Amino acid sequence: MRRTIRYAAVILGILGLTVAGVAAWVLLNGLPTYPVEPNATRVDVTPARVSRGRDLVTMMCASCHLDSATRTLSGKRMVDAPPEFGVIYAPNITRHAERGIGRWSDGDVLRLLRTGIRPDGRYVPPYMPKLPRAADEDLAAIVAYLRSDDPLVAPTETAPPTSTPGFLTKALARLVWSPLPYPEALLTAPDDSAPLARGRYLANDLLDCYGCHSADFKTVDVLHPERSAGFYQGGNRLRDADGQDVVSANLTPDAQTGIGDWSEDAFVRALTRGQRPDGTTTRYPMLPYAALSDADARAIHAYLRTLAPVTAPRPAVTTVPPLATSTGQQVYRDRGCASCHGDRGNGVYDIRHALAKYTSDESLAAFIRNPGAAVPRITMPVFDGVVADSDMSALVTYLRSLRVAAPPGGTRPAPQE
Amino acid sequence: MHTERFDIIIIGSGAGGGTLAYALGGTPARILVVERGEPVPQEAENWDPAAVWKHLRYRTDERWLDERGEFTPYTHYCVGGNTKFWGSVLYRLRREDFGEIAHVDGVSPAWPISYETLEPYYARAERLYQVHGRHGDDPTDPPRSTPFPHPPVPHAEGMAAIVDRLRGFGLHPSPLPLGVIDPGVPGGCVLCNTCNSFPCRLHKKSDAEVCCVEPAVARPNVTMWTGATARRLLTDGPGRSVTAVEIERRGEVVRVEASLVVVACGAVNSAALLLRSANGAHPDGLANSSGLVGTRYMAHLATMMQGFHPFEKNETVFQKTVAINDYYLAGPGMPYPLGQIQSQGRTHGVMAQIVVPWIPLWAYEAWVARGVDWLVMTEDLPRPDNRVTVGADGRIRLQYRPNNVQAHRQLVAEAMRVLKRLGAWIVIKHSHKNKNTTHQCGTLCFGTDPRTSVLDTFCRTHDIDNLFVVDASFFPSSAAVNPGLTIAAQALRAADHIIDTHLS
Repeated sequence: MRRTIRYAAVILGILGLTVAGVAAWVLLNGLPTYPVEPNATRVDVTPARVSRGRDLVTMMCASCHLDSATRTLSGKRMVDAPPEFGVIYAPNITRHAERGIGRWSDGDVLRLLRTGIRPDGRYVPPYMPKLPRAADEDLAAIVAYLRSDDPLVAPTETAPPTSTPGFLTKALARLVWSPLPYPEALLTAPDDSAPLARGRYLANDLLDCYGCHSADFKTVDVLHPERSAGFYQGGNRLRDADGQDVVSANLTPDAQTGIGDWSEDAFVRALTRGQRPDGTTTRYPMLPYAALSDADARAIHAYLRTLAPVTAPRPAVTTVPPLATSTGQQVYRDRGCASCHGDRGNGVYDIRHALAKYTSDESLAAFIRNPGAAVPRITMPVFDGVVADSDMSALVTYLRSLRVAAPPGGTRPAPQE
Repeated sequence: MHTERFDIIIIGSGAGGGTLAYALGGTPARILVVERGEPVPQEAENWDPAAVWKHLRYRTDERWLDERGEFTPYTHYCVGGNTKFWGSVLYRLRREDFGEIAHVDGVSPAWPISYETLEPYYARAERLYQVHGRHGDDPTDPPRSTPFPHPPVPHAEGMAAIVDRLRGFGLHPSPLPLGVIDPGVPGGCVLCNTCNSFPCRLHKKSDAEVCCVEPAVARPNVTMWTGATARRLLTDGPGRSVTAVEIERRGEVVRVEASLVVVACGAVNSAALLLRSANGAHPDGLANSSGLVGTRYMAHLATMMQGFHPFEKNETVFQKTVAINDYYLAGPGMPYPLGQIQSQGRTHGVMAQIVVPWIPLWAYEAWVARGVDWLVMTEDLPRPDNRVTVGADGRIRLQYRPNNVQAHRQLVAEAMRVLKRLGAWIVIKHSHKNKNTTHQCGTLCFGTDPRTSVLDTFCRTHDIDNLFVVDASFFPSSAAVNPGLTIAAQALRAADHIIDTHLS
């Protein structure tokens, strides 16, 4: 008996020491590095690719990498990253030689997007989504766009601090996560002639819809999306730019808890214009996929209809008070403005730019009602019908009162005494 | 309670009150300076890091409240106030600071006076505080009517090398404007490494006591009471003028009448004194018809950074001579201001040990001997919910959440890159975060409209004709340079106004 206890103690001790040793090793070594496989792929920059790339980058990269101060992809803090992952910054991916990715080869960019290995070998954890199954042509479009002279990728000196990943991130990167395999064969995308296959490609292989809309990031299977727990059933807890919890929606065709009772047109409107059939807008991080073609949006809908309907109990959703209430500030919070713009108006995008551009209250209200009419591909929901006409002037007054209306960087001389 | 009478009472003897006492010293008015603390003795402990940083020998033991509970503020009650412990970096605000400036996280509002209005007083304040500096290296230098009264304090050898390398990076390092007395001259400032956060044992740092209070109280018409705390201000029935100040002195309460009262207790305590003085005519606190008393509290966002190199011992003794203002008006590649980077006094092992106390002192000493120390500061923006209030028991409650955090993070990132380029292996960062009460300002903002400001442009309260406040309370925006010289300059301007309107 005593011998058994002694053995147990020794084994426990060894276990404890091992755990402590592993923990210390993880802490000291940080994120792992991997061998960098040479990749000599060169991407020809063609107008068609740049245009396609612009669509993809505004939908897939901009919400994290777009800095509203510089109005380029110079990077910013990922406010929605869980705190236990550490302090995470989306880096500068403009063409700047030192601060951005101006010196990276096309192969370097492709390797990172596919596998998660930077040119210096450092591993980039999954808060940066990878594209292991996207078509080569779509990736080429992204690379071509990042090389283009579009203002969004103009070389920008501003760069955020380097991320300081937390212990959990380091430990997972050592023990659980690993780089994804680089595809061996050329990958092609189904075209419009096969809408179901195209929809499935877009949702699963390119736009990563299942990542947020399955049950939990922890059980998402990036190589075999269909094996993810709660595939497209939603319930994944996310966070918006104002720090509020957002729960991902059930996208299976269940009539009660999913989108089974949505018409195709309603789905397309929700996906590309950010307005749901119940008159609310989608919230950050679900920005409208405004650059998606109508056919692609319909293809995604067609694919989602093929999933088995699952009744997933809807977690409590913030109740939206009836229309035509109240003060501008309440409208700003309740109608979803704060979800992206934060409490000061400069979250995911800085409203000062809009305030400076739309100097009359009427033009600003018109912009809010239908942003896409003024700015194609804008990732802002359509607020027509979401904000009641009677609330609009209060909202506009509140936006102007945020005292962020001065043109950025501009200084007005002080009045003389 | 017995009653005494003076012409003018000045409550507080720091950068504002001390300067004002000096400026009014030449008038025939009978002046009483009320100081709650005592003079800091000239003693060996002045320069002892353990006494200053560990035993908090000179710090107030007062406890303030914040959202989480009690804390000891970084503030000192003594003759000269917090200037005894300042680093004597005496900047003029940049000309642009007087206008409205858009920041990443909001707007820094315009001042009701222009730089040109304050310029002559800046020049006088620089002479009074013996500022050493040089115009022209710093791209943000505002225009000046007169050169600096003294040439800049020369960089130590190690810092001169760093300045050369910074120029090589395309930056524009400039000499920090410093208030020290006869640096390097026998009998003058010895350029030691115990300057900021330490009182000067030699009295050769330009603080309010040395430059202003001592010469002022040498005059026959100026009296100073130390150990005397103003409890409340009393007004006449309609509340249009202050009639007397209730002062607690050596366990006795004295009522002192005066025809003019100047409050200069620092941004937190001045607001608290007005709030504590609430009466029938001023139910929400004196001079508070705007409801703004105590609101818009600001303190700079500050991070101390140390670039560490294991094989390069830092031999510099007097390190705080370099400023980098390249990111003051706009960050690299972005249209918004980030703030200022300046070298600061050497860190002592004891100071570093405060942060993580279980690491032995010798390890800290070995560490700091190989570090070069910098301070980066970003402007804090005024918000109505960042405010000073007083409880029913009179205790100070400071409700504060930092603003403009994004700009500060960006500035720290830029400073980090600069230090890494200078060869630092590791860069240590430390910030007091919301506990930072240095550079406090903004609680009694000045302006032309009584509905949106507490003080007029000469720092007289809109509501009460004979009540002035001369400390950093009046700042409508905090800028991102050290506020000391601006407090002194505006005190000189207020003094001229008092002489013109009340004493002639």
